Amino acid sequence: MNHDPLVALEMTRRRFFGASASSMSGAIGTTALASLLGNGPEGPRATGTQPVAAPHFRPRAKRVIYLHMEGGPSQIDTWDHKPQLRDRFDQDLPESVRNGQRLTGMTSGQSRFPVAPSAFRFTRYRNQQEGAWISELFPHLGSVAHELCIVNSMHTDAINHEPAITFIQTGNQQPGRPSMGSWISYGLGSGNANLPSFVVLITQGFGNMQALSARFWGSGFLPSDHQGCRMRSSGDPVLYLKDPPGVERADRRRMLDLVGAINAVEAKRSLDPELAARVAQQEMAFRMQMSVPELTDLTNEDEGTLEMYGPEVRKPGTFASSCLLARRLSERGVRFIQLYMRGWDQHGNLPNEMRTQAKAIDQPIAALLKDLRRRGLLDETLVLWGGEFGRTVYSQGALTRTNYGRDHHPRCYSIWMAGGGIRPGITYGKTDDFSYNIVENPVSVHDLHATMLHLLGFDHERLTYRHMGRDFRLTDVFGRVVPDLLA
Amino acid sequence: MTSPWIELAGRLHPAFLHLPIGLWVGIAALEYGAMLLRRDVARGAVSTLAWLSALCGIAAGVSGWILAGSGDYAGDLVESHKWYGIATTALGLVAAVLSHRTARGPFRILLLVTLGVCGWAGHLGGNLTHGEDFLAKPIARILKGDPEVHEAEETPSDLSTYAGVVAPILERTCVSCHGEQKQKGGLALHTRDAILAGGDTGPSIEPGNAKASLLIERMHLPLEDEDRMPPEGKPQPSAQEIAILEQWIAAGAPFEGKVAGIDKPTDVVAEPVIDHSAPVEPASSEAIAALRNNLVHVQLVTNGAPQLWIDFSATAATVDDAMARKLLEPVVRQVGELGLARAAVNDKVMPLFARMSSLRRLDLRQTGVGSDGIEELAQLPKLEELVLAQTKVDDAVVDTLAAMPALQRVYLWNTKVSGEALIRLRQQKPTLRIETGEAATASVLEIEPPPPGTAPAAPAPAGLQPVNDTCPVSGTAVDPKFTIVHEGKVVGFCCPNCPKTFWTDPAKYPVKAR
Repeated sequence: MNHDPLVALEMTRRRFFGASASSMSGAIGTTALASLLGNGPEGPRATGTQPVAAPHFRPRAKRVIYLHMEGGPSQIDTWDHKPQLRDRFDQDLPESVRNGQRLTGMTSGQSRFPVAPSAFRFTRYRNQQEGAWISELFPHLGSVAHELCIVNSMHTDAINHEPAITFIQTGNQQPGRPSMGSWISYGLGSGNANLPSFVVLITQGFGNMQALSARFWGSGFLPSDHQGCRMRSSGDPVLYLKDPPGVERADRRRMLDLVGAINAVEAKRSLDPELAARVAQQEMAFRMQMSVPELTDLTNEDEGTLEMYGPEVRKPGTFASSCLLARRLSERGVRFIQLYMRGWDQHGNLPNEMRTQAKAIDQPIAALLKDLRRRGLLDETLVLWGGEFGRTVYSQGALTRTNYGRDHHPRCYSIWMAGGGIRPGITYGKTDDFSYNIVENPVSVHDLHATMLHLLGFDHERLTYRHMGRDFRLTDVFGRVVPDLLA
Repeated sequence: MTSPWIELAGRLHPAFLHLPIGLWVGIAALEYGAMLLRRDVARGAVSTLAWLSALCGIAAGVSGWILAGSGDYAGDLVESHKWYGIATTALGLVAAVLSHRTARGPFRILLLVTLGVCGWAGHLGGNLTHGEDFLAKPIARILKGDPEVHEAEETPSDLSTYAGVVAPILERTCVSCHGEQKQKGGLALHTRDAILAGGDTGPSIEPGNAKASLLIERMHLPLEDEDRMPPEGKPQPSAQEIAILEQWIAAGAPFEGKVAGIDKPTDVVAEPVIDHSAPVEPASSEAIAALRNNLVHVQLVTNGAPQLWIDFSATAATVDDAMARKLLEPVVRQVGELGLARAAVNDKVMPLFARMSSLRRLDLRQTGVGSDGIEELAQLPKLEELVLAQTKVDDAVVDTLAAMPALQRVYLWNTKVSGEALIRLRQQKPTLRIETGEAATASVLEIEPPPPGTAPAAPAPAGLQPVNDTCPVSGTAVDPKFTIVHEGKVVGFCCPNCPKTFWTDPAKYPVKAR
């Protein structure tokens, strides 16, 4: 095939050029916008991931910090206060409430489904409404309750971890689609050409842990330079970044130039857009050799700030150190920072395990919010905390007043958001007395994605990518922005 | 302090004092008029008026005494006026007594004295209110022969003098920083004494030797030089103006009289007026490419508008004033949001920012800017958000912030701005959101009782009352509005800031429970 390379490589871009052309007013000429879209069609994109279109309207948030609590933390023991359950201890869950909700293989064999009230005390903290009920597991977060927008009416479709995490990360239960961070990297580009636009940090937990697949931060069918870059907690922050002994940085540069030249020839011949992505990633890796050591070097961080994050902040791999790193990444223009905390899947021994899990995250997250606030970053950083589903009101396994377990529950769960244009200090959505069904203001995962994209300046229906003959988007064919959550 | 009614009484002094003045003149007219016209004196009228005048004099004196105590007036002039006023009243009382006598002689003499003293007291009072040269000013030139003040109008005698030519040059290019309001480097250049006194670095001029004068030396330095005066971005003297100054100094820096060879300069270029209302064109692609080649993030803020979001995060450490100016000059009208956090810029870059008509958000966190630089931004019409955390701005920045027309939010954590200055800023601009890192802590409204069957970690507190009376951080009395829950107990603090200190290290601040 003898395409004009200009035409062929432009084809991908021209798609949303056409899709977003309708959103442009006449004020900006096509040529001017073309110059803003990034480099020319041939050759590597030397200055990092460039945005493909401007936001559709003025964004409130410029970056996202997503704290994903992998395993599904129990909402009844954290954010969804149900004191009336105390009177129902060990009573059977009424059929009318359960209403045919499917059970997992772990509890389908149980003969009874006894109600397990929370073993934790809740405190009501002042916020912009009648006060936020927050469990004793999060005293530090309680002190910043006026910043939090707590959503108690999230719901999802999947009941097990892999599909549920895939769903909340990519908008679809089946794998293969780009993750949230990749969509945002694709839409907004990187704020810092020396760092990846999507960074992932993983903290091991103390409770029951489930697997985390790398495709949760993969780029799906989007160009692969939008995938999440995982930074490790021990050894080199990024694998294979350092030059091996004997190779100097200047040597590396000459090698990259040579390989880049060969790739450019191949790109002309085969018109494979992946080549451009590959070269861009190599260039990014070269720049990261300088930027990552500067990022992880804490010598300039003042003592007061470090103390705020708690005693674990200097130990790499802890949640506290990840939170500090998240703040440093925010300062340096990274768009999507994802922190995974494993170990929230409490099928048994919930009170003890949750105490340890909560202690590891409570102070660091509150410190992160305060740190972002005082540096002028919180109003343009959207912080999101949540798991992939909730937990059942009935106990899995033996039930006592001080010990019980809970199974997965997709029909309702709780998350909170802060900063970045979210309405602070409110509690949104209500569940029924058993925290089993939603009675007011349900928010689906697609709605959450639509709202997040809206805060970042995108109409979720217009940020699309043509693949396999269809315009895909993060919210698939669903989702609506929830206006009550916006400031 | 004083009761408001007493203060009011003091302020009636200007009302009361006119009565004795007018009355004595009237009495004098009656008395001396009768004397001159050889008529009988209207003794009853004169006495009545004299007593009335004396009583009003007492009222004027008392009210004047109160007014003097109010503190708005002080000094020798007040003292003189006070004693002459009291003397007037005293003499007036005696005169009133004498006015009943058949023998008019003593009364007439005393009346004359009283008039004189009253007139002088009144004149001193007038000086207090209107200034000592109030009467003399219109005829001052006739009285003394040369003017004290520099007249704004051109008169032929102005040309070629210090006052006519040299002083306006210094006024235009130097006095804004070296004058009555500010004395940068300890130097003022607005009066003769100040110029001759010099500043911290030494005398500003050497009369007779222009080349050795620091003033001239600094004007000849290149614009980028740190010691250059006036500094870049400020109004600059033209070549003729510098020549005039040199000429004047070489002639011995005379402050009076003409100097040969200095005339009004003709090459002064008026300072360009920044027109913020001109429409904004889209930025040129070359400018954007230049920025991107330097790894600066450039993006349209919104589709359909030309405003740009420009962020220097990637190369913050290597960006200095010169580079920032070079890269931002071509897009100066289009910059909507500018992120320069952690860049190596300082105040020298500010004059460029003063021209950014579209600038809505400016992030200068952890840069080298100070209060002087921020002063340049006072006129920006659209600046809503300003991040100055971790900079060296101090209390002087507060006045600039209060003057900014569109400012809605400012971040001042880790700066040198003091608490008193912040209070002042809050008073001047109550709608401005100020973030100092002392964010409010959400206080506890209610704690539910422990779940039945669970062993509580600590005894349940009685209601929500804090268990302590004194704040563990400050030691002062607890305000029950500010409480947190710690280890199962309700702990009270004196203010909203102490909980944050407490959280940093709870073990350091033991709670003294009742």
